[in-house]
Amino acid sequence: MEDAELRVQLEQYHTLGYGWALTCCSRDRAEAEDVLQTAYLKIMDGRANYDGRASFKTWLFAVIRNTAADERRRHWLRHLRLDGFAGEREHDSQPAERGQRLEQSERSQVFQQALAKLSRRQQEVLHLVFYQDLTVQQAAAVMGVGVGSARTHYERGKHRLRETLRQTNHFHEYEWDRQ
Amino acid sequence: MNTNGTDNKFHQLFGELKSHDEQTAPAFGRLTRPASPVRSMPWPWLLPSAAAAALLVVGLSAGLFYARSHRLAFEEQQWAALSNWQASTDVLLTSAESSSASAVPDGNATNPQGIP
Repeated sequence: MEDAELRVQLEQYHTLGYGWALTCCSRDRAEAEDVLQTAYLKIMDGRANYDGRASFKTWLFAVIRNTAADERRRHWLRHLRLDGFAGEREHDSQPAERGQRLEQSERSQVFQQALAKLSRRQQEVLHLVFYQDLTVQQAAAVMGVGVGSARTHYERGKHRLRETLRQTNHFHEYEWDRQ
Repeated sequence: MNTNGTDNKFHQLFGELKSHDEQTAPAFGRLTRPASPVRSMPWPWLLPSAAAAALLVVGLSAGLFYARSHRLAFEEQQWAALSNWQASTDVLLTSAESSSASAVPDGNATNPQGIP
């Protein structure tokens, strides 16, 4: 794929890619931007090559997910080696996060809190299916797991999210089905 | 269980999240501009620490070398002084040697006084 074509494709999926990066980075905006930029650089300088085996979107999302995992490992190592550095970053991002929270509706906050209670894999598969409109099979390809495993995360994640939302008082209009 | 009902609710909730994210997404151009380093150096303390460690090693080596050469020179001087040293009683030993040698009677000598 040529550079110009690659740029067009990346731009086409940019907003969706950002949403996916947010999920991979536990909704941390600064982190998501870093991850997305690193993923774009990887793709543009040829460190990540699209071989056409999957759809471009599936491949791009897998690159973003792997980049986020690398970032998490780096953060973890940094945290171990330089105690307090990660804490400073957290402190830096707190005012921005507070601002964002004020902007968002309470309902949206509650939904995000409920999502945060799920395991990483459950969050990922639910995001890919309900936010990105992928099938469970496509989600499995992005996550690098088997379809059976993805389906299990999907079912358990849905069940847990429904139970968590049912316990809150913010979704009265939804009559959650009892399983 | 009405799975479709639950799925629709989830679609709706994720859709709300999606529209919020779309409003706050950064511009594509900002993230693909090569001269806009968003990330800072992974370990900003690494370079100064390495320089300090190198300086410490060089300083310690120089110090050890100086101390060793200084000690060798001192030892050399000390040994030179010891090899030339003479005790104050050495004179007595040499004078005693010469006087006793003269005082010891010689058995082979002839009787000078003619005693029988």
